[in-house]
Amino acid sequence: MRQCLLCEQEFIPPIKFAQIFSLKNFRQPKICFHCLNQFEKLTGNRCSVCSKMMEQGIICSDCKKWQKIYQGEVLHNSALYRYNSAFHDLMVAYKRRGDYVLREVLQELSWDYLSKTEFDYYIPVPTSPGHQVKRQFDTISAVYGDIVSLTPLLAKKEGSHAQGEKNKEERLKTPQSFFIDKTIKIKENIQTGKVLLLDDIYTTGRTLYHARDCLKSRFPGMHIESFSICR
Amino acid sequence: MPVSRINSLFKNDVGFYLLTALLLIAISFLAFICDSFSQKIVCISAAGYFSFLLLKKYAASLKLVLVLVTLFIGSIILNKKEVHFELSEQSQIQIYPDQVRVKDNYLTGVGHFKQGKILISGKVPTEQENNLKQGLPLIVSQIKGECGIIEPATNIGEFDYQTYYAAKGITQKIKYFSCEMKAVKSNGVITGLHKLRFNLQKYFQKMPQLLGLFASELLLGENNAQENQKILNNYRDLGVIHLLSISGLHVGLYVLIISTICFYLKMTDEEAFICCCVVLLLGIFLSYGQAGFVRASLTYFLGKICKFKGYRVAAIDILGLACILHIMIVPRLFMMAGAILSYLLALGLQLTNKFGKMQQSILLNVLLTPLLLFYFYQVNFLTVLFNLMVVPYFNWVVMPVTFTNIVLFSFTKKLAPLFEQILELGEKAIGSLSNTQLGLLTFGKINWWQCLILILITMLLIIALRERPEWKFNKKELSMVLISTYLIFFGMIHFPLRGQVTFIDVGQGDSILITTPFPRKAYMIDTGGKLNFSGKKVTPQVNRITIPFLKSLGISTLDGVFVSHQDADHVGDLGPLLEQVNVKRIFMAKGLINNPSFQKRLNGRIKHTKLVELLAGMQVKEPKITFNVVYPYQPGEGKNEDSLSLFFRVANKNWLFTGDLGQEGEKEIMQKSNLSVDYFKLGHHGSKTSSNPDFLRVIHPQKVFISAGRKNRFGHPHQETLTTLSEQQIPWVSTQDCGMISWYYGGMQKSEFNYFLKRGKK
Repeated sequence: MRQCLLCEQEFIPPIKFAQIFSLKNFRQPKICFHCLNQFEKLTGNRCSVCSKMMEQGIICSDCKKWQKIYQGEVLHNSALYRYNSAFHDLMVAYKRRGDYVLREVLQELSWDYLSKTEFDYYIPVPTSPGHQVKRQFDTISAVYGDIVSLTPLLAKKEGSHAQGEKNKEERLKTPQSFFIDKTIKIKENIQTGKVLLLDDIYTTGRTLYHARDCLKSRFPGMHIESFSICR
Repeated sequence: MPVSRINSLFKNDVGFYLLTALLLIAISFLAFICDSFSQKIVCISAAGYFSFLLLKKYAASLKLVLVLVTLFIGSIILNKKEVHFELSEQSQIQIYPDQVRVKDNYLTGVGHFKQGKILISGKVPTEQENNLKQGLPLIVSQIKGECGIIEPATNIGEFDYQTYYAAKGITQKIKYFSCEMKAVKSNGVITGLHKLRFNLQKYFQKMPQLLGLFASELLLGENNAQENQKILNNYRDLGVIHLLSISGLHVGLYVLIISTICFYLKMTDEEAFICCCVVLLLGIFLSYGQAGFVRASLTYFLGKICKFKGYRVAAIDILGLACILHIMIVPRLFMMAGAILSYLLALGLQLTNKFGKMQQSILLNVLLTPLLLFYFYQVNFLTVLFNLMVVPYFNWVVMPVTFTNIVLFSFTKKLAPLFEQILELGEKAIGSLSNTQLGLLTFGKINWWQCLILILITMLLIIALRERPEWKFNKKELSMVLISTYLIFFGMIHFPLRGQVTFIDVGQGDSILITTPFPRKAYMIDTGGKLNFSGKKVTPQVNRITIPFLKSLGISTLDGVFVSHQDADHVGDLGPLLEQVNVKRIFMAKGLINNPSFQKRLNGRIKHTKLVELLAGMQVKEPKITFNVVYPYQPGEGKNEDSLSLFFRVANKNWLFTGDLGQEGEKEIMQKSNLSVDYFKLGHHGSKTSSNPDFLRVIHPQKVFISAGRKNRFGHPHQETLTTLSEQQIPWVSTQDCGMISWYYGGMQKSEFNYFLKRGKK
């Protein structure tokens, strides 16, 4: 019997005999079946670039814009869930109110997918130092740090505003605020390595494209993709 | 216990109680069941594996595991303490009327002494018999008689009463010659319950046969096997025998009925629960703690408690907890086949709860098949189909009719014949279905590790089907592994590398099985049998000994049965054997067929069997063996002196069997044929009428075999014969000491003897 982290109800997790009898530790589910169902999986016809759910077509309008801006050099993003109100509530509680334990919910949502990916480097999108001091933790690293080993190659300049507080137009106009953290020691093959950028939500793609630009300027041979729980 | 403590019992993660229960089961196997070193190793590693899992994944509840394991080990130690009954002047045995049977003034059953239970038998005076009939318990004192241990099985495949009773904590038996009996008048609860049970037994006995059978099966969990053997066999062959025994199904039924009544009486859920518990407790007593019934009752009880308290506990953990409680109270639980089957079935139900009805039913049958092969040596491919046909009949006809009759019979007996007719129709249909032997495969006995491997692979397959985990083997590969394992085990049984010559321990009498490898053919010399003086129908011993032995070898067809002569201890069970095993040919000495009592044995039982008459000088040529007939020279009537005598050679050893042939016949063989013999079945069970010293000197065997009953009334083997043997320094072995004696040959190995009872080994 466990208590759901979201609704605080007691629940019986689904029984997996393979896990019970396996010698490996397994993660116990953190949220109940009902709460898990509130999160809507991305299914059906999806944008081939950023995973957005669409009625029809191959590439979504956002990605078409990026295609123009970057002459076809789009950033391939994998996402798992739709940004719905349940997700919004979760992110508000996690990021704005700083409820650290909820990272376990986000881990549960992304663990299975992410633990199966095979990239050379996993680079989290950084938070601005001001926010981090306020929250006492980095929202992205706190989620992904347990799943994959992170290389925090990127850092964010002081004073830049959070994307969540802006409208779409303002977001798209946000200037580049990332820079390479030179204190991080890296191996040689990062020049040509496969890299996965990690973020929580992909809204317009501005943040992730900035992050990619920043990396590309330093390591032009790098193969970069991105992952976000939500699209 | 404070409330918060109880809470914490139910706060463990999913799988905790399941694993703890498995750990305790492994410990109980280690304590009660394991004999051999390899069995112990397997149990210890299983226990180690489960403890490791508990330690690693449920470290928070480690204390609880330790407490449970300590309690359980304590319970085992208490239970293992030998309670030995010593016969003395002070010893007293109490018997309850429901636990004994009295037939022709002779009492058999279970008695209670101070610390334990014991099997008791002896004569009862009429006065005391009447007391028993009134439901009064008796105290037996000043006992004079014989006290001994319950004898183990003496043949491969034979049902082992020693283990059976050991599971119930009974190891000894007493046969009294004289004693004082006194009826006890007491109004205790226990006496009352025994009386209730006895009254029910009496009540059911008054009913027509089938109604009585089902009533006592469904309520008391017992049957009078002798009278109802045919019906039970039909159910067994179709693979639906589980329907008959009292089981978890009844718990559901009782709960449903009581809850419905309580609902109309406007009682609360809690009150209904208490009513159910009382009835279930009564049911447990009436069936003497039948494992399946107790399991289901405990599961119901725990499930309800969790529901009332609002604890959410996974069904497998309720099952695990039920098992933990059950095994704490009855540490010997898993010595009983019924308990293993019941718990495996319950676990199987949880494993397969995500599948559709049909798929679930198939998977459950596959899961139980290894155990069925282990206990019954046969399997029916169409069991799922038969279940589909028989289960509705059982649920909608047998159960309602039986229970209605139980209620109505005390008011009116008029309806009983009608009910009986309905059931007779159903049983007739089941009987004719079973007689077709459709889908029935005599697989043979798999041993414990084969059974374990098959169960494990099946479980892995079910888990793979249900959860699609990322294993190295997918479900297709696993099913291939399962099928090929079955094929390999089948091949090992049906295409053995070695042949055998086996003296079956049929008590006083002869029965020898001879098999050859490549191709495996099976021949039998004599069938054994018992003289039946009472004139009543008794279960032939071939059903208890020879048939299970043949089934355990996967033999359903005998290529030849040689009958030496007409005596009951040699051919008494030929009739029942012919009814149950396909016999291709019967070989006999010329003239036997004219014997009217022999004709009676064959009467109506010869369908596809060829009868062959033999005389000395003739040969029966078979693919891998040639039987030479060395006696008789003249046609006879099937008397001892006409015994069909056979000589054959396998694996460079010469064997001679002379039935009950007397000294005159032996001399004739000696004169007319020049035989050198390695192994010789001593004539006439070692009687002095056979075993002529000159004859023995001429054939000079390496070893002779005596097939005789323990404490037989003829005194076989006779001292005269044993003296002759020791004078000629011929070693002898007897089924009296060794039980079944087998000689295995071929397969690129040295031939060797195996004695079933190790104490008989010389």
